[in-house]
Amino acid sequence: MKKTNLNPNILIIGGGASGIFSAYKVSNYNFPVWIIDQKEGFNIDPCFKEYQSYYEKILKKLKNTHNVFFLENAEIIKIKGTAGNFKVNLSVNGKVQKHIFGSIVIATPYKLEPIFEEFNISPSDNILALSELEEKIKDFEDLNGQVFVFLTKFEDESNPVSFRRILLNALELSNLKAKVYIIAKNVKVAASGLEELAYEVRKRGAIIIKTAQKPQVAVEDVVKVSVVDSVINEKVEILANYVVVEEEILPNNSNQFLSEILSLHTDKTGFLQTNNVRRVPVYTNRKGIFVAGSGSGIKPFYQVVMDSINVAYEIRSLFKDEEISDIISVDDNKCVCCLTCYRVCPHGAISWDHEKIVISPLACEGCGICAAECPMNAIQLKIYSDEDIKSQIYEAISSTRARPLIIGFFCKNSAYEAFKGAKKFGYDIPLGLKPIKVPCAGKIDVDYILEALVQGADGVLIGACHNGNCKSEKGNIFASYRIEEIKKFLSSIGINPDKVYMINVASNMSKEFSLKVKELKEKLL
Amino acid sequence: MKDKVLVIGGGIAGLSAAFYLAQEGVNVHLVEKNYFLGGVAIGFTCKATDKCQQCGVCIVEETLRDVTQNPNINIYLGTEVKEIKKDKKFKVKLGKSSISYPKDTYVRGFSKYNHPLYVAKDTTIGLPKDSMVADEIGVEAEIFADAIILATGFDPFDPTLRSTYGYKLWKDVITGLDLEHMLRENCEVIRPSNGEKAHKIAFIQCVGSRSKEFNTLWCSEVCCPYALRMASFVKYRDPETDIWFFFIDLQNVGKEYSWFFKEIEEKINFVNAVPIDLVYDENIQKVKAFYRNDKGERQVEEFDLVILSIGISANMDNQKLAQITGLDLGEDGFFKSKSLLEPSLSQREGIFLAGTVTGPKNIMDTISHAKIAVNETLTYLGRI
Repeated sequence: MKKTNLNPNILIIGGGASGIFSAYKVSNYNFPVWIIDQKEGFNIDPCFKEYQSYYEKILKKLKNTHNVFFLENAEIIKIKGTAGNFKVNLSVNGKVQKHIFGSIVIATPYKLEPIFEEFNISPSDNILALSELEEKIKDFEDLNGQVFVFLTKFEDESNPVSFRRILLNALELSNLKAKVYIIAKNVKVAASGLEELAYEVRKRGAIIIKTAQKPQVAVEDVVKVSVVDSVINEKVEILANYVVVEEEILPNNSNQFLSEILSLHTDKTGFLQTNNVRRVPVYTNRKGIFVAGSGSGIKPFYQVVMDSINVAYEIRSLFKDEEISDIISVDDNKCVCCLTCYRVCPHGAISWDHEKIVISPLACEGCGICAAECPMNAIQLKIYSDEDIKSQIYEAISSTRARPLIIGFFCKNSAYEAFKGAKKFGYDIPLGLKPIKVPCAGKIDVDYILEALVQGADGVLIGACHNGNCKSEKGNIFASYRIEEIKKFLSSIGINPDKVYMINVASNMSKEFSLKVKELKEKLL
Repeated sequence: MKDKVLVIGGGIAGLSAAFYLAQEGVNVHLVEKNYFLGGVAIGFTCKATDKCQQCGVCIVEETLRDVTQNPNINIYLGTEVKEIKKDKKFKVKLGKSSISYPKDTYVRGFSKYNHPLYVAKDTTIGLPKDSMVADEIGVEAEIFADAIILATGFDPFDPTLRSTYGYKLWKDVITGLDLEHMLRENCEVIRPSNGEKAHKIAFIQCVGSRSKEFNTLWCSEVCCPYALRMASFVKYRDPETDIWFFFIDLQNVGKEYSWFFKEIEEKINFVNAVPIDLVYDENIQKVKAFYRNDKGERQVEEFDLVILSIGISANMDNQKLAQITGLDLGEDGFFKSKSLLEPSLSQREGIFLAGTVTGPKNIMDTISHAKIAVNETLTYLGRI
């Protein structure tokens, strides 16, 4: 099937560093780009202030680029559709605009929140948020020994992005002859150039105090910070002219709304990319919707830059003129439009039109979760059809003499590879184990397992990815639900439920795979 | 004529670059000085507990599979780049690798078409069918390339330099890399001295990182994550294992660090100090770790096994590679990208940088960097 009617307009949500750099890289490939931001004017995220000159240079270039459009005071009202054809309603300066975009890049800027509360203090003339200090610092001259204390996040700990910012300010203050203290539980230096910067800051006389106990701040005539220095194990009291608190980096408020209307999975913090290596660098659970930098997590600037280039790369790939294979079909005679498929699809690829289910071939990842869940068996994958898998079951059972005879349904991304590796390296695999490859554990239909048992298999082994590693996010979880049900069912009819066994195994763990299979074999003997 | 790109290095950066280029229809020469593909990362173990811990090791394996099955990629194992000349194209001289293995060791990996590859000088150890031996590998040839991606990676820090830890001297002092290999091969933690299970183990962080003394004044970024993930994995597999974790500053692990840390905080004995000395006591057959606690008092703790979390150092070949490619190295010994906004461009047109060749990166960032290098290479070739 040809890719057709892909709308070439690209929507970039967020005009901070991540949005602007992504827009720039995408526009280099001649896509019309629309950048929207909730605020008036376009500004770099305060945590990346250091890189403002880059930002402004790129922003200026973009403003002079044909086919790049900036919408300020713009909010998303509604989004419908799938990759290649997203219908988007925007409110721009209070007026509704309707657009169609082929792809969406979520680069919502960070929300920064000073952590006054963590230390039970309130902002004042000498208790500042980091941004306020950055404003003030411009007017500072010789600070002549004035004392500045930086307080970093304690409960959930800081991160290299915030730390870099604190260290840079500490350096500047030290250069102005201030006495600087940075109090931290752990110095977060895991980013390019940070250790060197911390070294430099220390060399200029700033003191980094490490402590395992939360510092106490008392505000009287002067501000007093008490802290137990865990290196010298002594209580230190600092009389501070200024206390500066870290600004916690949080996901943008609009992420939650975007997650809801776009069916995007978030991580626990609320960024629009799950904690799943399969989503790195810029993928979401939906094709055609990408996430960059501040939309996806707390990232140092160089990663924001990398994301912007990767977004351009992915968009170009999405629009590449190539055949897309027709991987799935719906039998309209069987379908009763119950919308189970629509609800279970992790990739938002399914919609309906006049009581007919429509699966976007561009958005479908071919996991087959919908096919396994469809109560009417109306959905079939082109390869891995029910018929195809059942004939593999019959073939395996009729051709295998070895006992115990175990039918393995293995996810092609994990267990199937582990199985292949085990064979290749000569690890112990029972002769009676017959593997059947499936696109995702979520494709393993209850019917397959029962059919294998009915046909005479001694056991059924389901091999899935580890939780949190599934390309379709929940395929392995669907599989585990079904297995639980089957086990209950088997028990109720007097069959040993241990005949059905599930393992989670990574593709590279052939030895572990072999050990686990052995365990099952012993149970069945 | 199809474009040809030379990818130097067959670790995760080189594999990813080769694969994404090949997918765009580019012909790739993938040159690896070792006798197997996958670089350092190929020996890593999956660290999943009841859930994936997001280390990315499985992706390395999958990329390896994709590369070895791709007809657009020509793989040269046991081969080094000896010379690069630029005319209209790059003219590249390849020669046999100078790496040799001791006669009695063998390395296991994958060759082209994903055949198991046992690199062995001594073939009497009974190798599987269709495996290859080192002496047959290595190519001398002259090839042409339209662009070059330098993906030669890093060298793990050599822990023998930190002599007070007695690596190589004490069998039960191993590196994080050794533990990765052990877990992958045996799925349990064994004391190399006697082959028995290790019940009490220690991780020591920052071995060869954050050190002015060793000229490695950087955080390697990967060691806290890999060590904490392994500690968590070992504890999950065997909750009886007593795990100590010596550190200077704990670095965040992945995206949901506070959740991750809360899960392991109580299960692992964290000590905010690193031992000064490690000594193996023959009488009790334990490794003694000497350190100072937070009260400044001298402490000794005995362990079955001590794991040194070695960091990322610049590849020892970088000097030579800099000469061959005509690129400059930074003071830290890594290659420098052209600018902050062009992280995979080198100072020379047509030569691109991917992965830890520019500095410490974890697996996923390495893949991300390699993709960028591919993007910039395709742009340079005028294909996009």
